Amino acid sequence: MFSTGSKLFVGLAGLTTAAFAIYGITQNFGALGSLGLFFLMVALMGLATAVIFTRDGDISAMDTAAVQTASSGSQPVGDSMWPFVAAVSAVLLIVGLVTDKRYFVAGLGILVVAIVEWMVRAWADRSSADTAFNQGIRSRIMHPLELPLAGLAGLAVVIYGFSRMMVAADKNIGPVILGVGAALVLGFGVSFSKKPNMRRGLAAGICALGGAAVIAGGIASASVGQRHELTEAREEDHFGSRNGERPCEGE
Amino acid sequence: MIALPPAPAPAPRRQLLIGTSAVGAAITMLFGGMLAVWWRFRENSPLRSGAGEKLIKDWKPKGVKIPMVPVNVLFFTLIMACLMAQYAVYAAKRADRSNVTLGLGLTMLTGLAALNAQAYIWGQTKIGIRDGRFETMFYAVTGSFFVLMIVGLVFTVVAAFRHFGGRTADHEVITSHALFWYILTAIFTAVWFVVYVTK
Repeated sequence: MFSTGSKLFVGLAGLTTAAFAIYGITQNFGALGSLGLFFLMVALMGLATAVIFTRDGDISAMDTAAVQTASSGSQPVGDSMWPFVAAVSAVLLIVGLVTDKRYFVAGLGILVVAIVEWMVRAWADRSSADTAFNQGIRSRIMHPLELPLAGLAGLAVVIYGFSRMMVAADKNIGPVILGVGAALVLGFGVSFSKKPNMRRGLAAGICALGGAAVIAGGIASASVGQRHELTEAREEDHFGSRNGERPCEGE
Repeated sequence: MIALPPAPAPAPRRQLLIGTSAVGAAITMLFGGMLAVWWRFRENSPLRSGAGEKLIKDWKPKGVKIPMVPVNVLFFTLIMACLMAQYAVYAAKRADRSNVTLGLGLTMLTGLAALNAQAYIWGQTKIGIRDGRFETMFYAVTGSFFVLMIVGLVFTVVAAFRHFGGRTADHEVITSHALFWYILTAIFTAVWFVVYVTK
């Protein structure tokens, strides 16, 4: 009746019960020790119940459905970055809770994405014994969701980064940056279309480099702040956005 | 060349159920430690004379009022969540997919209601986390439990995802999910008694 695991946990639970009783009687049930031992006793009793109930976690050979679906009988899952991303987002969530709500919201968003990705990956990994087939299933489910969302996120980052550069740059330099940026995009776009056999890695590298340049420029510009004319216009409400009156109207 | 025969396949085990039990033991010890510190704080607080020359422990700041109605609602909501999780186990064993959906959906709903009740309690008590030792410990205990409820809801989503993903024969995840909600309710019983009732 008693399996090896249950003997261990029943013995430990019994020992803790005795320790709780002896400590309680001799120390007049002092708060810290008595409660600590009481909760240890409850935890060990819970574990003892679990191992008795599951016979040390063994599955009966007669239970064919359980034998087929047991995790230990399946192939091990492949490497995945999503547990790491989920852990980082959980940390961001907690840090955001006590510092800045923007970190909290970012952590929450990343956590939701990580959980969904992790679940789909885990599900796909167990679909068959063929890794390529499993990868195909994951891609078929997630790509229609991932690619548009990743595109939107990338676009938002580029737009925001570029906007920071434009509000920081001098009003005479801004059009030059805009023109040069547009010319570069046009130039690379034309070269991509003219050379359809260009290596994908090279094209991806050029795009990544452009994106990184915009992000780095945006971060640098955001740290500098907007140009002083814009700050002045905001302080003096040049555009009447606060009082509804436009100073230039009627002049 | 004579090749050795392949190693036998590992014996199937109920890893998730045992893992959930181990996590439950860890959670029990975490809250045991927190509640022990809470109790010790109460024991070491100074005595003062109350109405009718009665000596009372002066450990809870004046003006702190914890509303018991939402606390009891939270308690009963967690019991309901356990019942719904067990209902999902009952339905899963009978391959009744629609009722598994209903059970898990209601567990999710009652779990969200429990989160809402906890947030309402925080709103009604109107105390700041840095106002004093009582307040800090109050938020430490109730905040930790809040995080555990969120973990429980994530478990519900995972269990539902696996079940609806076609693993209807895998009852272990549904059983482990129910066990986790039982553990949460047992832990809240201790929190309810120590933090809310014997205040």
